Order: sequence, then structure tokens, then C-alpha cells
Amino acid sequence: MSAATEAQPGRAGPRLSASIKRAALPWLILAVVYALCVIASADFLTWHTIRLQLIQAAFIGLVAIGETLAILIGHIDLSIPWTITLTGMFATNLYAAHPHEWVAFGAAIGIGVAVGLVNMLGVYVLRVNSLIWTLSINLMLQGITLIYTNAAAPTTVVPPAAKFLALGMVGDIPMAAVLWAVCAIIVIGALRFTPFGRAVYALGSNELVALLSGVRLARTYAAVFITSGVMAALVGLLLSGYSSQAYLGMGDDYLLPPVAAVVIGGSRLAGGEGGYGGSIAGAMTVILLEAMLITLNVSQGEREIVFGAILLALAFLFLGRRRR
Amino acid sequence: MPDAVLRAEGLTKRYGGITALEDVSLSLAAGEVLALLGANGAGKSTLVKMLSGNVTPDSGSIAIGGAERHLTSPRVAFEAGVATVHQELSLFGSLTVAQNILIGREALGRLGHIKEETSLRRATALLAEIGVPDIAADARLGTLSLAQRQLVEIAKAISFDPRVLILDEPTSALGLTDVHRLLSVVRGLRAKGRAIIFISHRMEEIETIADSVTILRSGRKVGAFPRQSFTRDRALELMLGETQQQLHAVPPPPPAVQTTPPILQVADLRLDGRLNGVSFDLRPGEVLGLAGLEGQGQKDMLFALFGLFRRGLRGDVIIRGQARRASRPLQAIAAGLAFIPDDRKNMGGFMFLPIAHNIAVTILDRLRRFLFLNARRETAIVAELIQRLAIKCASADAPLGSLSGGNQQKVIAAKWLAFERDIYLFCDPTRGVDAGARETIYATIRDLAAAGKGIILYSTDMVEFPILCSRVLVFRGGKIAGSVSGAEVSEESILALSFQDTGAVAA
Repeated sequence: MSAATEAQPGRAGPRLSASIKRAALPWLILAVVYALCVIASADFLTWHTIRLQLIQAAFIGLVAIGETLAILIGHIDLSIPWTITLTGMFATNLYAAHPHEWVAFGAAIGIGVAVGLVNMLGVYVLRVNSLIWTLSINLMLQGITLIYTNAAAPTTVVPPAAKFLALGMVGDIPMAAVLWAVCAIIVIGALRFTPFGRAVYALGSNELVALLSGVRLARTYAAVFITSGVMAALVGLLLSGYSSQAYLGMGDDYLLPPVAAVVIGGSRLAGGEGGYGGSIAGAMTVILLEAMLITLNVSQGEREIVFGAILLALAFLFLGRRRR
Repeated sequence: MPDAVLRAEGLTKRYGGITALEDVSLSLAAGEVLALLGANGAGKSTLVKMLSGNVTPDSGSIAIGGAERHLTSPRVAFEAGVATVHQELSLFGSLTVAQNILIGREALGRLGHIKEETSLRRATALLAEIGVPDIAADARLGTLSLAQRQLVEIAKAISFDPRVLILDEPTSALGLTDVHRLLSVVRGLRAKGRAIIFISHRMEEIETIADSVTILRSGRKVGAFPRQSFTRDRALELMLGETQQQLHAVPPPPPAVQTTPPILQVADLRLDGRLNGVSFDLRPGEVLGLAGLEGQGQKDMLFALFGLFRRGLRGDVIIRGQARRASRPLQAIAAGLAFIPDDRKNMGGFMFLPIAHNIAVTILDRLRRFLFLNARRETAIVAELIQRLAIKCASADAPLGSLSGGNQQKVIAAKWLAFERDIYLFCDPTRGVDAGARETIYATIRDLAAAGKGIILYSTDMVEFPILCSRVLVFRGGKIAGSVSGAEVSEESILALSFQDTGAVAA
């Protein structure tokens, strides 16, 4: 009830405190979920367990960078799963044949950029609904991966750099988390302090106004979808490093969890409002929820049901708050 | 008149402090065509909405066939025998003509399915009745021309078997041949004894079709005559009234400049049906008005110049001697144009973003320092503009949507003052804006002109042209019907040109 009154548009004062509240909510949710985890199992208090969850959250968090940008401009990217798998399969195979680090990373970046450009072509140039377009591209990437793996056997040879980024430690802190932190700082800075960030919010708020104001839309669309593609490709490489091999379906868990992370993070699905800060908490929340259900010995099927229901509930919590 | 089919007495409607209609009475006999005439905002549409059940009057009464009726909804109006063909058509492009005409009233079979055969037969009969048997009842509406759709809409209205038929500007979008056809359909309906209210801005149509003419101005009925005593001059005089005297003391517009070379030249600009060969020059320091009745192509002209039509635009746009016809806004901006739209919410600003972001959006590239946005320069530029335009806001970080309409409009103008351009296109910049903001916007336009910018102003408020413009082009049917400049710019001269003949319509 009080939330509704505070959400009334007014002078800068109350509005500002409302936006602080909104920024704090994802972290509050994270705290609650973590507390539930601890109740479920005291293991969650050990650094060892936290560290493992942090690595998982980093993978979600890294792809959530692209997803956050896509959602901020009022779109969505659902081509992440098979960008991950294709990159994992292709880059490791290429590395097995040509054992240089730069070959694997070059291939990954190449795939990421290509997927991003194709998505930008469909969503910006051809004006296809991004949900439909990126989901179709995801299917086509799956097809490409299957055709490719018919010709090439998977390999367990993975680039050491990928292994290090996924499993390495800096002191007591996982390398993946460090990488995530660095990327997060860059994205948050880019959204706040650069012309690109302004263009993203402008585009997400009202594309027609952005167009009439001379905002470089093509450039912004390209930057957003290419970032998303490259982050997905990078995570594909990290995941192969994490399990010391690439395998079909390795990206399957990355279709909706990144979207969930962004929504829990408080960004508006219609675009124009939110930011990456909340998505960080969102990514951790998603991973902890999953881990908690596993700890409680919930079977795979039931886990998915509970997980879906919780995500829906969280989405309602946020959407409901904003509808006013 | 005892035999009046429709009799309205003392209709009044107020919205807040504004009187939309005051004490308007009229009566209409069977087989009579009553023409309703008035400038924009005279109250015609309010009157139509009352008779069609979309607006309930504050006071006054409506009697149909001698019995008083309360037209509380469009459905009640239909049942009382009043059918209206609105300006915006209400048809579905993917349905057939028959489905459109009988929508919601189809004959149903035993299983609840629609008997398409019966629908087709009824629609065909209706189309024959209004005299357009050439429109096929099973044709998909999307394949028909605009004029044919208009006739389908009339057939739909007739399907209710109304005693009173209201046609709200049925000819405004039609060419001459189609107008002839429509008028003959109206004549046919009159001969069958239907009472018709006909709204049009075209004097020649009114002269040929009307049995009587009623003139509205500022919500009041200011004149009514039978066709015999109707003259155009008298009608114009009544429509205009004494609005002239209420003009406040304002500085006169700058004199028309003739010596400098034009900054913008438009030659034979065409846009399928909406612009039919427009040519004009604009000189630095000039405020050029685009006037005319609503929807005559003035707005399309501004949209076309700013690159909002990706295809279909032909003709030349020459800016500073270079061909710069734009097919997207970025090109137009690069060519030196700025556009201040009338639809603030959808085209003007980002309602949820801070004022500062709304203003700086045009200069993102200029504010770039290395990778970052130069925040200090941005703050300075924004603060200067907020002060210059007297934008009333708590802070530059407040969302645009928290401001009043007038202050929102100032912010939208400010973003193009931050990014200075050579030519400013103002599209109805004072719509829904309070008096204070209005003065600021006028002053801004004058300052820009004094600084040697070229300004094109489209406005729905005719009072603004004599205050601001050194020259005014009057649009009619996507063409320039005439122009006035200097001391000749007045509401009378503009209105006269707006209503002038295009070519006589044969009776």
C-alpha cells in the first residue's frame, strides 16, 4: 500500500528515494534467498560452497550483460544457449587442430560478432519481433551445431586460458568472479557515463523520439546485440574450460535464467528503465534458488516446476509494483 | 416546423472552463440536407458527437420524430434513428464489404454460424439502394479505394435504416470525380426522404448540395440560412467573427526578407495523394507559416522535410544549394533541419527520463570526450537552457513527465537549441500549452529568426500566423492554394484562401 503511494510521480525528492528503493529490492531478494539457503543447509555458510555458487553465477551474470542491454532497449536475446554450445564445440575443435590460445578466442569472438550482427539485421533492419527472431536464430544455431558435430567428434582438449578463467583462483577468489566483476564495472560505467549508455536508455524509452532526436540507432542496436553474442560465445568457451570438454546441450540452461536474472534485477521488460547493478543480484538469486532446491533433494522435474513458479512470482512482484 | 425529423434545442457542453458548445438549436425535415460550417474548433465535432451519442449534452434536448430522446450511447442513437459516418472510418481491411456492413448483426444459422449467403444478399441490396452497385459485396475491403470505402461506410450507416444520417467531412480526402459520385449518392438518399447533416469545408459542395446552411463559431450558432440566401462572403464573415479585436499587443512579425539567397528551396514535392506538387523558398530570418484547414498536407509537408517518409516522396529539396531530400531523420538533421513535433508524448520526449537527458540527447556525439560523456559540459549546457527558456522544474534530474505540458514543450524545443540547426520546423508547437509557455515559445521563434535561422511553422491556431509569420502559405488538397505576406497576413485572408474554390462542382 505504501509502495503504491510512493510510486506516484512527483518532484525529484520522493522519486529519487523510490528509485533507490527499487535498486535495493533485488539485493533484498538475494538476501532472503540466501537466508533460505542457509536454513536448508548450513553448507551455504562455508566459503567453499559460496565459491562454487559464485562461479555458476558468474556464467549467468556474464551472459546477463548482453541480456540486460537487449532488455534495456526494449528487446530480448534468446539466441544465447546455442551460441554457447556452438562456440564451445567449434572453438575447442579448432583449438585441438591448431593449439594456439588466440585461435580459440578469435573463433569465439568471431562467432559472437556474427550472431550479434545477424540479430541486429533481423531486429533493426527487418523489424522482426526480437523474441521470434532470436529464438529462430537459436534454433538455426542448434541446426548448425548438429551438422557440424556430425562431421567432427567432440574433443576434451580445451584451451588452458579458458580453463584458467573458469576454474582458476586469484588467492581465495575464483577467476570467473574476478572476470565478472571487471566486466560488470565496464558495463555499469558504459551505461552511466557514456553516450552509448544514453542512447540505450533513449532507445528503450521511446524509439520514435530517439529517431527524431538523431540518436544513432543502427550503431546502438549493433553494439547491444554484438555484446550479447560475444558474451555468450565467451561463456561457451569458459563452460568448456569448466567441464574440460564441450558437449551438445551445454548451453541449454541459458535460455531463460539470464532473462530471469535481468527481471529480478529490476529492469523493465519493456525497456528504458533499470541497469546492470540489479542483474548481478538477479544472477546470484537464480543460481542460489537452483542450488537450494538441489540441496532439498527436490527431483529434477519438481525442481523445474518450483523454479518456474518462483520466477513467475518474482516477475509478478516486480511487474505489479510498476503497474501502479 | 411540425414535420421536423430532428429537433435539437439549446445544446450546451462545457469541458472544465472551456465551452465547446453553447445553446445551439437546429431542426431538420425529412428529405433535407443541412450543411454545417465552421472553422477548426467551432464546435462542429462536439455537435456531431452529441447527435451520435458519443457525448451527452450538459443541457438541452434532442427530439427525433417528435419524441424526446436521450442519446446516451452510440447504440441508443442508432436505435433512435441517427446514423453517423465519422471522419475516421471504422472498417476492417481484412473483412469483406458484406462482413463490414453487417458486422455484429449477421443472420445466424441454427448452429450459431453466420449465413454468409444471406449477408451477401443483404449487402448487395444495400449497395444497390445507395446507388453503387459496382462495389462487390464479397470484395475484401483492403482492396477498395478510399472513396469506395467511404461509400461502404455510408452503406453500413444506411443498413440501420436511419431517419437522420450525419456525414462528417465525407469528402475531405476525396478527389473531384469521387466527390461527384458521393454527392450524387447523397442526393439519392435525400430523394428517398432521409434527413442528412453534411459537414464539409468546401464551399462549392455546400452550394450544390445543401438545402440550408448552419454556421458555428466558438461553440455558438452564428447564422442559418436557406440555400437561396447563402453567399460565401457572408459565411466567411460569420465564421471569422470579431476574433481580430482580441489580439493582444504583440510585436509585429519581422519584415519579409527578399535580398538574401534562400536557405531552403522546395520544388514540386509530391507524396502519393497527400502532397501534390508543392514548391516554395525559405530565406534566412524568415518565419514561414503553413496554414489551411486541418489535413490539407501542411503536416505531411513538415514530416516529408524531416525524412519521416521513407518512400513515395518525389520532387526536390535543396538546402543551401545542395540537393538534400531526406528519407530518414538522420539525413535531415545532417542537412541542418530541426523538428519540434506536436505529439509530445509519442514523438517529443522521453517521459520517464530526466530533463537533462532529454535535452542532451541531440548532442551525445558532441559531448563525447574520449569514451565518456563530458558531464560538466552537459550540466552547464542544460542549466543554461533551463534558465533561458524559463523551464519550471525542481531539478534537471526530474523526469520529463513530471512537468506541465508547456514546460515539456520547452524542453523539447531546448534540445534543438542545444544542437543548433539552420532550419527549424515547428509543428503546432503551442498545442495544449499554457499562456506563459506560449509567450516563451513565441519569443524563441522570434529569437531564432533574428539569429538568421529559417523557420517553418505549422499551427492549428490561426491567431499565431499574424503574430509570428512574415509569410504564410495556405494549403488545400496537398497544394499551395495561395500565399500572403507582410501586412496582408491576417486571419481573414488565410481563411478566405482556405475556403476558396478549387474548381466548380457541377450540380
